[in-house]
Amino acid sequence: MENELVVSGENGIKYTIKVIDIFTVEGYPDKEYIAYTFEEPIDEENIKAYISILKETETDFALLGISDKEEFEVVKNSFFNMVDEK
Amino acid sequence: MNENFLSDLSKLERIVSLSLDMDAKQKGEVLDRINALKSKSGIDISELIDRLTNINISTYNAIFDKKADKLTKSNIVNYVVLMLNLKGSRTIDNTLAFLENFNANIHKRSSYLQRIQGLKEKKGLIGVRQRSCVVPKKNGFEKRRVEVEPVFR
Repeated sequence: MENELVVSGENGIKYTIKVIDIFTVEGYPDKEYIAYTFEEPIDEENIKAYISILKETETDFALLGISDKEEFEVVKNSFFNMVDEK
Repeated sequence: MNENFLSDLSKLERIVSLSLDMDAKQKGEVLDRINALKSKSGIDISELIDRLTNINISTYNAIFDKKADKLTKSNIVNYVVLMLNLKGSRTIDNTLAFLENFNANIHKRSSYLQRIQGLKEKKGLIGVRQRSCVVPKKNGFEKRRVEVEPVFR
């Protein structure tokens, strides 16, 4: 699939993620965020989606957790706004 | 020629330039005709219809199989929109908005896929602690979804 990426966890296990979007958020100009899923169902209609900080170098990239709750709130709202526009 | 019609013709030019259903030659032909309409000092409905129907998209001719004098200016505009293979129910404004948005999304999607392709060529790592939210499976995500606590993977 064109939107799938394989990433390794710290336990060495490889996970396949489906990328929903890669985006920036006003107020956090030096960061890039990535929204993705493992297609984990919550119920019949909903799935769990993750939003992480995307850190990229010339050879690697990493999905880092957003530790700041306020930052996550802003990023999450920005993500929902973008999705609503689609 | 009334200003609304001129404005509509300008919008049509933009629609033509954004249309994915026409090649460069077809676009050139339609734009020439629209340009010719804009330069006229008065509107001759029959001549307009002649000019517009000269565009070789016969599928839509049957729809406007009426006498020229019964066609209004807005019908002519709608006719051109139809000829561009767009749904007749769209107005010229929402057709233009649709195409502008579509064009922007195509560009955005292309950038997004290029970006993912670039990441595919690199080694990816995922941290242990990730925050999540709940979204519907289909598009039209809603804001009321509940955020869950940070999870460990």
